[in-house]
Amino acid sequence: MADHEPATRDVEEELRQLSCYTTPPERTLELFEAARAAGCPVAHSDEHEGFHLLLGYDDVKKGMADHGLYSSKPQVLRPMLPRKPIPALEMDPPQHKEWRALFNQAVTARTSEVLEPVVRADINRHIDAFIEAGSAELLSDLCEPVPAEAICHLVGIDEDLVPTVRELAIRMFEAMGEPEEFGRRQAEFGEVTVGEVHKRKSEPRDDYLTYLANVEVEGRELDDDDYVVLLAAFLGAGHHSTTSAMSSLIYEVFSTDELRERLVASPDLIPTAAEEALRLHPPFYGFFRRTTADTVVERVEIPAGHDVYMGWAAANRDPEAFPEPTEFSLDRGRNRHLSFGFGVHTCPGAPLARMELRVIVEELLRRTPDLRPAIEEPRYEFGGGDYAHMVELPVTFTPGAREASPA
Amino acid sequence: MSGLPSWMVEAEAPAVPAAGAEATVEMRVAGREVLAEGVIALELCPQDGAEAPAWEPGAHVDLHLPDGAIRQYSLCGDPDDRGSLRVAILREAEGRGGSRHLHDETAVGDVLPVGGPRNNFPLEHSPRFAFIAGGIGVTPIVPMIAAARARGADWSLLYGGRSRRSMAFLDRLEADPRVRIMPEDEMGLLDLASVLAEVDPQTAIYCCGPEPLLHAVEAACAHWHEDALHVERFKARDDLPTGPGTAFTVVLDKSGIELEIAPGQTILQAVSEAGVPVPSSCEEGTCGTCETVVLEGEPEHRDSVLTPADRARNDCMMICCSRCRGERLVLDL
Repeated sequence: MADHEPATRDVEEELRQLSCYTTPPERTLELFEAARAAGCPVAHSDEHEGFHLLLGYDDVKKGMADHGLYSSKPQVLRPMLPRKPIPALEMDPPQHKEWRALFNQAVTARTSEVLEPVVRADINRHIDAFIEAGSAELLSDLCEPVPAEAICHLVGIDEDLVPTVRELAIRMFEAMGEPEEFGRRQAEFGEVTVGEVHKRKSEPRDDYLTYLANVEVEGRELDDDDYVVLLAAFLGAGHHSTTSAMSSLIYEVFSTDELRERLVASPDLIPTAAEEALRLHPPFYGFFRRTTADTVVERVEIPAGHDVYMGWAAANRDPEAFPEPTEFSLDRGRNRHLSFGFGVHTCPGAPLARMELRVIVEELLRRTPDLRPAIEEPRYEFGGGDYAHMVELPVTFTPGAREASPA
Repeated sequence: MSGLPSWMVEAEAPAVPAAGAEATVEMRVAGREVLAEGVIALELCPQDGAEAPAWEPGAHVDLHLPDGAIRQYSLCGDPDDRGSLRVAILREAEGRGGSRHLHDETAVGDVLPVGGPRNNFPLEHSPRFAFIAGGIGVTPIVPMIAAARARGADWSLLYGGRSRRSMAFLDRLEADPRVRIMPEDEMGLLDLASVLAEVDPQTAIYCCGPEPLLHAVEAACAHWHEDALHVERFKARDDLPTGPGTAFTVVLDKSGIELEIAPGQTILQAVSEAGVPVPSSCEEGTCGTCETVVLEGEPEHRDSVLTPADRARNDCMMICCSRCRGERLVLDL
């Protein structure tokens, strides 16, 4: 990185101010590519008290796998907030394993199988609500509620409480950047959800909340603080991230006739399309780690105790790993993108998210086969950390008939 | 009771010992009842007054017969009755002899080793169920109907058989208007179109019966969503991609190591013990961390990460849970 062209110096300058609070998603991706093109796979930003960004696929993957060198403590999002660590996500082994088990057990292949017809029914209920109109705003009409409902089904929130819990979760995560407000809203969220856990203590049911009410972790029973962060983690990890992936996938599939026709002809390829949408549009662009020792990546020295951003949005577009990286292709073979992370912190909810992504495309292809986005280009923004989401997804289609009678 | 919700775990119970042979419990035949022509019910009680194992509708048990044969029978009693297990058995004159033995030579007081229960036909959560049963295939459907009733779900049953005399459980089922009984000698083949012509995305179809019925139902709901239909085939359990599996050889190409994988042992365990580091996390095939390139051989995929297309290529596998279809795998490790 000794000799820089003037253009490169500008890029470096802009990278130095990069964070999800200062740079919008599209520009962030452009800067990643500019850095890569300038032979700089390890960039640096002065934001958030300074951090290095890993952009190369192999570097990010190796870093994610090396939890000894790259600690997930104290937090994986910036700025740091005065809050308890997110269970498992912000813990290192061996403590990580104890908490991770709670999530691993909740989301298995079997869970996704059992929940699939329930999620499918939810999706069709939402489609019923707009199918006669011939137009919809899919972000709020479909992509936002479906994953929230799926998580509620997973843990055992009663049907009539689902809208409340969903609303409280949205309010809580909207305040991610404001510590005091976040605390207040987390307490609101906790009042309802932890209340449910307490009800299960006296009236056990056959659900996951009952399991949480009785489970021991690290040799002790859980307390209300634990319940709040656990349930917030379920919603926080599984709700808006899936919303973001759904809207990206729907946009990609329904804005390209060729792709849509291929999926109609070969529905088996829908999961492949979902992986490609995840690769190009990761709901989280990356998480932070903190080095536990001095290290060198691509000849850049990173001292111990330094923040490192694992930029999987950049890694997913590394031409070394993905030829023609900006192309949406169904022919990449096994798509080893890093949007679910890698290593011990790999998203435990991935099977559930993958099922939801597949089913939503199956149902839209079936019920609104000529659906088309009513925007030229999707617009993304960051919200609450490095979470990137589409701003709106208006669509039009030939009106169809409801399948269920109105409730 | 502080375990996971039953719907998250039912398919995994009971634990299978690593050695290969599944644990059995000795159970006494406490009752024998003729349900229909050629159909008996056996009531099986644990020996020492213990509770019968828990089960969910759709589950079956293995009955270990004195000649060493193992036969699977669906449970048809009440899951809440933990005093005993109940199976219904059709005497198959042309069968391999298991049902003849149970009909003709098994008496009240006999003791049989019983394996399971296991469930390959679990009742999912759905607002509506269309049950279709042919002959003795009604057995797992009976407790499913009770469960659908208890959950407040809509349901219907189309139940066929050779003749009324040969059809079990008619007395319990016939009174309900949601049940249509169609004995073949009176009414011909089942009117599948009446149930399946119109697609309802809220309905889960559960069918159990002889192979020709399963084929007819598969054809009749080809225009339904592929996951709408759930069938139970009476098949040898060796076909099932669960359980400890068989032994096979794994060659680690780069390391030049050859390993024997025992039943119940995972490739990941053996590879790690051999000192070859592979990153892994969930160890149950959900996270994708231990993905490994396959150079030769055909994996038996048991993970939930790979797509059907990935599986078909057989060029990679999750070594924490997947095994080998043949005798040998060569991995890029």
